[in-house]
Amino acid sequence: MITTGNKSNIPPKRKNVESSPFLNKVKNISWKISRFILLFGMSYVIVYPLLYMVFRSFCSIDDIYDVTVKWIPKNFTFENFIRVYKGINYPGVFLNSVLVSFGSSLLLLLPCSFAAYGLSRFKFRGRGIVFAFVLMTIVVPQQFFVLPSFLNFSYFNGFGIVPLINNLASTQIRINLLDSFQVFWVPALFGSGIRSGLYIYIFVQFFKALPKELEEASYVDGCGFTNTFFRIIVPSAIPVIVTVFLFSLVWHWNDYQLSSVLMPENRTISSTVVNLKNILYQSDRTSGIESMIDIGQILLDTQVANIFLVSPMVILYLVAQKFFTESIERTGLVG
Amino acid sequence: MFVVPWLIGFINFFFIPIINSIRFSISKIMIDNGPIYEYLGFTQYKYLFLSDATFFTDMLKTSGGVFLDVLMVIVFSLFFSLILVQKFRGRLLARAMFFLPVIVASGAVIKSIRFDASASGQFELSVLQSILQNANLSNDLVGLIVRTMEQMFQIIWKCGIQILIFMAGLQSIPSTIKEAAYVEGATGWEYFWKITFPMVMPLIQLNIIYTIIDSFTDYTNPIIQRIYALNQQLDYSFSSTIAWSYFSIIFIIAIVLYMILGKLNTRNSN
Repeated sequence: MITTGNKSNIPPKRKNVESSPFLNKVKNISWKISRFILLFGMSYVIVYPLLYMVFRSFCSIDDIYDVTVKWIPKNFTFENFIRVYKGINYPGVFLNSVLVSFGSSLLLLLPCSFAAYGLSRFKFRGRGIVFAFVLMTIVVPQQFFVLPSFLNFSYFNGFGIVPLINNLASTQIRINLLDSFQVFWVPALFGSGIRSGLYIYIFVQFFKALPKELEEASYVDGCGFTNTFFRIIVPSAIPVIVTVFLFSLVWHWNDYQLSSVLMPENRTISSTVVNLKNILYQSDRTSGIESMIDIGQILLDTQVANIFLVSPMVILYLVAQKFFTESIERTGLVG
Repeated sequence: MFVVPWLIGFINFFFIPIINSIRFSISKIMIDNGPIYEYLGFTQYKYLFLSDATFFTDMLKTSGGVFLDVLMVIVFSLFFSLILVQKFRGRLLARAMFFLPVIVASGAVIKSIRFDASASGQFELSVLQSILQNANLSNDLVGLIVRTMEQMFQIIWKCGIQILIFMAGLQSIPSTIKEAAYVEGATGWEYFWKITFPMVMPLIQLNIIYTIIDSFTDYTNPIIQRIYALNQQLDYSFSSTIAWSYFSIIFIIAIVLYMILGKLNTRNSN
């Protein structure tokens, strides 16, 4: 042991252990196996409820009470699907959901990317405050503005225009937007859809990373702001645009808090699933045979309705998986 | 100029509703060809904080639950993102799997899924319990293990976004740092604590805040369910009272945590 005091801050060099190739191999393989087991276990936990859902939905009521039936139903049946399909008017609610989610996700893109571009490229007064507002919309939960926006839409003031007309012409015009798609479309058009602050944030992060030279070149060549935006920025931002579109699609599709309050009659699929019992057994309830409904049947119907709700998004996810998982990394959401 | 459309939307669909909901919470609303407000003052708040039977117990219960949740979610997602960033066969499939809960569970389904696919059905916990008890472990310990296993499902299903954020952060660590560390003779363990951990520290902060907000606004939370039920009964004013009190408490917790973590962060980097 020859250690000198003045070198104490230099860490002692570790002796290189000459490990045999065999030992290395064993280490490597055992790590691989344990990693596989870990990941497999986690995947099991994630997939289990989905599989359970699928298998259960094919069961008949007898199978629910049969203890020996764990996975494969004994009496294979499509009855549940047909019953729920009719009961909730699936084509109707499905179409509603598609219109709401696709429509608002498409409308969102322009104002959100616009705002993000402005925030990331131009220095103007109050930029910090505006950005703080954007972050605020991410943090404030939905429950805050469900009710006020209910009132807001049932007496829609059209950005202050309707009361003005009412005052000037002393009329009593009342615009009720409830149960129409405008409830989601109008906010989306002004960049205030569900979680739109997050989309702006994603866009801002992306635009910040984009090199400025391209835009400068286009300014030199005589393009205006809007021209530059549509010709230069939008084409290079396509992966981000797809990501934002997909995310907002999923979140609008799955939203039930806003849609069950704002569209109480003209339901979307997710608010239907939440209020499934009220909708499906409404006719029974009025005739007073509510107690007759089998708990097993309720279970089955819930599973089927869940499949109806989830399957479009899962299929979409499987198709566009790359955009969901990879592009978030590329856009530098974290950076 | 670019921001103007969004700003209009923000004021109209976010700012005004929020101001309105404050107004709701301090007044009584009647609807008769347009809403009419009758000023009540803070009586509803007084009622909620001083004489409401369930608010405080619910609040305490959820806070405790959220605390445990956050701890486990962060550890879990960091652990699995460390595995998932490695290169191995089928990693695309594995990554896709981990993000699946975000697609499925951000909506209404999670409630019923949680009900019928709880861990006790998944893992046959009663068997585990009897095995552990036969192994002469103390009852407390067995209870702890079983409870953790029961929560496994919920924890993993909450991890999607967090894993994604961690993975993005881990991939942004330049590989030259890793090479340098190994040349200097660092083991994997040292590498993790001296390099990976400090570098993902800001992300841990982000994830903690995200998880707190996420689990406080979770559907299964009793207070949220109460707000939702009141909303459906169209009892506007009391539900906004609850919402405001509940979320201001959450905000205070979140902000305090954020500041503490930020302090820790700067101290680490110095």
